[in-house]
Formats: sequence, C-alpha cells, structure tokens
Amino acid sequence: MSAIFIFSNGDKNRFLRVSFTLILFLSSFSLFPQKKSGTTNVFPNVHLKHIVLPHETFTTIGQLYGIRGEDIAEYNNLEYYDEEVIPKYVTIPLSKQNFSKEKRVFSNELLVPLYYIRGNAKTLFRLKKNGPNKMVRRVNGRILLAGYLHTTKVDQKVFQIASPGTPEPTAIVGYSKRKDTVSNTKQKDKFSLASNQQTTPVATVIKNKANFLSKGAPLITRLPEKKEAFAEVIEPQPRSVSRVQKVLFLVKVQLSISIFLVALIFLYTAIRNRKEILNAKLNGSIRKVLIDEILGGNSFSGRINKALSTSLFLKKQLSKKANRQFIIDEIINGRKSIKGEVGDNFLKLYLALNLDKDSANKLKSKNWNNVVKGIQELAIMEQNHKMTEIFREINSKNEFIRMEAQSALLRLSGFGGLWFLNVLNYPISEWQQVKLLSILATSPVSDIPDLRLLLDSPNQSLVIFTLKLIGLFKQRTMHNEVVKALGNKSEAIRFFAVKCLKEIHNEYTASVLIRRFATETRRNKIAIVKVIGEIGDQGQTDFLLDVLSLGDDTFRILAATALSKQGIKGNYLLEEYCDKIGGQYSEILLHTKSAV
Amino acid sequence: MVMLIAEDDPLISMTLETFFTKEGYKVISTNNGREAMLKIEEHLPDIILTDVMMPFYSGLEIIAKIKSGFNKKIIVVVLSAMGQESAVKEAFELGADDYVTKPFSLAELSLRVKRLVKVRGRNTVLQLDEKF
Repeated sequence: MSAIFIFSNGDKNRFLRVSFTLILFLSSFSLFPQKKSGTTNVFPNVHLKHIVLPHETFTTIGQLYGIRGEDIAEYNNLEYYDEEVIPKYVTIPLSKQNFSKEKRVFSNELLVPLYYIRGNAKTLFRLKKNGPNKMVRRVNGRILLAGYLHTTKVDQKVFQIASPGTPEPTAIVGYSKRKDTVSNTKQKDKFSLASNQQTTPVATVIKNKANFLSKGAPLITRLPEKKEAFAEVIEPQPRSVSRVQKVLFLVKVQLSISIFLVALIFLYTAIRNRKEILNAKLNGSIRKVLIDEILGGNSFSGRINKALSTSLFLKKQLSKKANRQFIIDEIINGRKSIKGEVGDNFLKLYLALNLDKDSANKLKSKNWNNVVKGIQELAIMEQNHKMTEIFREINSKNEFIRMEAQSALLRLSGFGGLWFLNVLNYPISEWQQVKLLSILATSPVSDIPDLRLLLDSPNQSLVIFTLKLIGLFKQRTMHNEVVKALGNKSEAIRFFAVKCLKEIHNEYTASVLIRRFATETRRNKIAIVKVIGEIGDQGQTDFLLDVLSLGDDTFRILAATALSKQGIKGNYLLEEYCDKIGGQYSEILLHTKSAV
Repeated sequence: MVMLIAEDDPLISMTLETFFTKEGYKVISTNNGREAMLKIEEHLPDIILTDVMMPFYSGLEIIAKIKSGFNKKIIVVVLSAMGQESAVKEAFELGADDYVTKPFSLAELSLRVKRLVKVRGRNTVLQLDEKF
C-alpha cells in the first residue's frame, strides 16, 4: 500500500533529479579509456615501418612480421580488406606475439634480431629511461640489441634469417628515423632490422628509400648499396608529446573519478531523502493511530486489543523493529509531557503493545547505549517488576550504565531505592550525586529510610552522599551520627559533616564544632567559623574573639562577620575590638558589620 | 473559537490538536515560530498555546509580537518545560495569560483555557458597557 502511495505521489522534480543522477553515474564510466582490443605493443611508442610493395595485402604483410593482417589494419586505424594495401606504408606493432627480448625459438619460428642504434648524445641510462627500456646488451659500441622479431615466413629479399644455428648477426642494415621528424630533431637513435655481418647483406633494403636515407643519419654509409630493404623501425615519438598524452590521460582519469564521486553523492542523497520522506510519512501515520488510541475514551484497553486484532496497518508496523522503537520513543515522549488520564493511557498502550519486552531485551545488549536506553525506558514507564534486572547493572563496569541503573532504581522506588547504595563497589561521582538528589527531591520525605549504616560505609563517596542527603532532607534524628562523622579520618567527610550539621543543628552543635576547631585543617576551620556564624548564638562570642585575634586575615573577616550576626553582644564586642586595634584594619572589620 | 498551537514536538502538537478539536475548537497547528507568526496574522486566533523553545522564533517572541502589536486580546497560554521558570516569568511580563509546565494534564489545560475565555469575554462585555 505504501509503495503505491509513493509512486502515485512522486515528485516530478525528484524523479528528474534521480534520473539525472543515474545518467551522470553511467556516463562517468564512458570517460574511462577503453582498452584497445587486438595487439598490445611491447614498446608503446616503437613500431616497425613497412613500405608497401605492389600486390601486398595485410595478410601477406602480417605473415612477414608474425602477426595477423587484421591486427595490422586495426593498429593503423584502417579497415581490413583482403586486397592490395592502398597506403604507401603501414606501421607494424611489436607485440608479445611477434617480438621478444630474449632469444627463444620455437619449432616453426624464425628469429630476426632487432637493433637499436644509440645516438651520440644519449647515455645508456637515458636510453633505459626514455627509449625502449631494458635493452638486452650492448653489441657494438653504440649499437644495442633490442630483441627478436618472431616470424614463420621469411622473404629472403627482406631479412637475413637469424634462425637457430646461424651466427649471431650484428650488422645494421636498416635505420629508423621517421621522415617527417628527421629534419627537426637532433635525436639520432635508430631501430634497425639486422642482417648477417659475416656475409654481404643479402636483401633487407628499402625500396626507393634514397631520399629517406640521405638525411644524414650516421649509419647510412654502412648500408648496402642495394637499397631494397623495405622495413624499418620507427623510433620513439618525441618525449614532449608523450608527456602531454600522459597529462591528458591523468586529467581524464581525475575528471572521471570526480564525476563518478559527484554522481555517487547525488545518488546517495536522493536515496536518503527518499527514505527520510517515506519514514516521515510512515511515522506520521503511526503517530496518528497512536493519538487516536490515546484519546480514545474509557474502554481503552479493550479497544487497543481490538485494534491489534483488526488493524493490519498497526500489525504490519509492529512487526518491524525500527517501527517498534519509534512507537516506544513516541510513547515515552508522551508520558514525559502529558500527565493525568491521557498520560496514563500512554503507559497502558506501552504495555498493551508488549513494548516493555523490547525495553527489557535491550538490557541484554552488548552495546552500552542500548542498555542505557533500555534502563531509561523501563524507569520512565514505571516498570517496577524489572527492578531486579536493573539492579544487576548498578555495579556495571561501564560508568554510564551504572549511573543510569542507580537513577532508575531511585525513580522507580524513591528513597526505598537507596538500599542499593550498600552494595556499591564504585564511588558516586559529584554529578551523579546531584542527579540522584534531584530525583529524590520529588519523592515523599516520609519514606526516607534509616541512613545510619550508610555513614559507616567504607565507600567515602557514599558517606558524603549520605551526609548531603541528611542535610537536604533535614534528618535531625541523625545528628549524633553526623557528629561521629566529624572524627572520620577523611578530611572530605569531616568537611561535609560540618556542612550537614549546619542543616540539622541543635543546641550542642556549636560547642561540638568549637571543640573540633583546633585539630581541623584550614579548609574545615573556615567551614566551622562560617557555620558558627550561621547557627551560633551569644555563647560563641569568646570563640569568635579568639579567632579574630588570629593572624590570618581570612579568619579575622569570617569571625568579624560571625560576630556581627550574634546580636547586640556580638556587635558590641566587635566594635570594642576594633577600637582597641584602631587604624585602617578596624575600619575593614567594621565594614563586615554593615555588610551583614 | 479558533485556537493556534505552536509546538515543535509533533506528538504533543497532534495530541493537543486532536484533543481540542474534540472539545469543539477550530485548531490550527504549527511546528515552528515562523509558521506560527504567519498563521497568527492569517487567521487571527482567539487562543494561542505556545511552547517556549521553538525553531526560528521562540514562544516569547510570539507573545511579544502579539501583545505589542495587532491584537492584545488574544489569549496566550505558555507550555513550558521543567526548569524554565525564568522564561515563564518573562512570558508573564510580556503579557502571557497563563502557563502550564510539562508534564501537564490535558483536562487541566482545557479548564484553564475555558476559564480564560470566560474572563476575557466578561471583560469585553464590560468594556462595551463602558463605551455605551
């Protein structure tokens, strides 16, 4: 049903956008260079040049060079035909089929050595780098053996055969400078077909090549008089052209990748947007059904069960985990925002749809996020019967799970949940203490349990939390236990005990604190003077005068402030003291009086 | 009576819309401050229920515009969350008529709205009498 809805309401622009993206995506592939079919040259820029003789066809030429006629036609961008070749010359690729760098002869093959003639200016290194690399070896000074042409049919007019058993040929009989580049380049390197040095070169000379040979290549003079050779090797193309091609290729590749990535981003965005729109529509429908159920009326539970058995839409949505989670989130949101009868209906719907099982299952998850979410859901939806499962997590190794479990226990059972504090293995952080106290602030004070045991806990943070709890909820019955805490070894516990006593003080508190003053740390002494100032009466004036006479300015100001709070007697004593010491300092102390 | 609800939480917004529609109000629902401003000018509602925190314009900005602008007689009830006491105080200073804190009871909210409508109606009649 939803699919029909999607397409019937399809946005035209969105459709066009998706189509455009797909076209872009597919077109990006066309920019990738296509792999050339047929022959792949061993040396990308080196070819043999064959001057076409009358009546020669691609097939006959191919037989001479150990390659198919179709490959020659394709390599020269010509259409293959089985008749006399029309162009004056064709280039012959040196491929794996017809060329090798090593002298390996198969039974029905003949080898024709190919030589590269090194120019004056070129070092062996530069040749290896820029020319037909991996030259086999130096043969004679500037002449380097490049490799062997494999062929099965040899025209004696063309080649001196280098078949197995014949002496190694070394003489140069051809050369390689292209006619159109000879005049404007200083490069003298050449590829040549070889013939036997030991005998007079037999055939091997290009027909009508006089003009070609007369351009001043150094080896021309060594060519035989009989100019009948018909094949030559074309040397590598100028380096600059090759570099331009490389750059162009790289630009093409980068452009293709960029277009591909842009297309991919478009496609991803389109899919994601479509998914979001679908989800929003679906969520809206679910939400509408939920609200109809929530605001239904008195026969609520019955109606939900009926809806579950009849509404295919709701059933279908509940079968999907993501939708169930969406419903849980919505119900929890509703529960947090709306109270009263409607708020209770959210809880009933949660139970009627068995969503409590989903929340409980999250506690079994290995992902701490899920565990925390599950605990939160159970606590907000007041699932008290799941307290045992939640309790297991209060000493979790994960701090977040631990904190959430502690908070959940207090949410579910108020002060009654404090029993878990006894079994805590980890300290309660300051933040967690604030959080727990804020949760407890909404619980009825009459439910506060006996906190004595907690004050004896070896867990320092727990004792501090208990002292805060006693102070916040004014647990005056705990006064004596808090006074005992003043003797604790921990300075922090003693500090919070002093602060706690301020909240639950009685007529003995001030004298107890004064007795502790002499042995306390500076921080706790300051706290005691402050508390005396708040809770003391005229009976503590002597103590405050003693503090006033201490050398420490902080104590002096605190004592002066405390004295000014002690009624007429305190103010009188303060003024008397100031008159006695006189000067500017007395004015400062008197200023505290006006500040109070 | 025309009621405008400005609430960015879709569930709360839809719940309020459904509830008050059943109560007999003509309800216009918006989910952000900008849309709310436009709808207020377009429909001139009698009652506005507005959240404090919303995209584009806050509930306080909406109240400021209504109360200082074209129609001071519109009843404005603020829906605030826990811990937004200062915002509630500011809303009253700007001229809001009432507020409820989340979680709120729909029944209670309905009663508050009815009471405000009643009081406003009485004041209007009194003002008319004074003119005559």
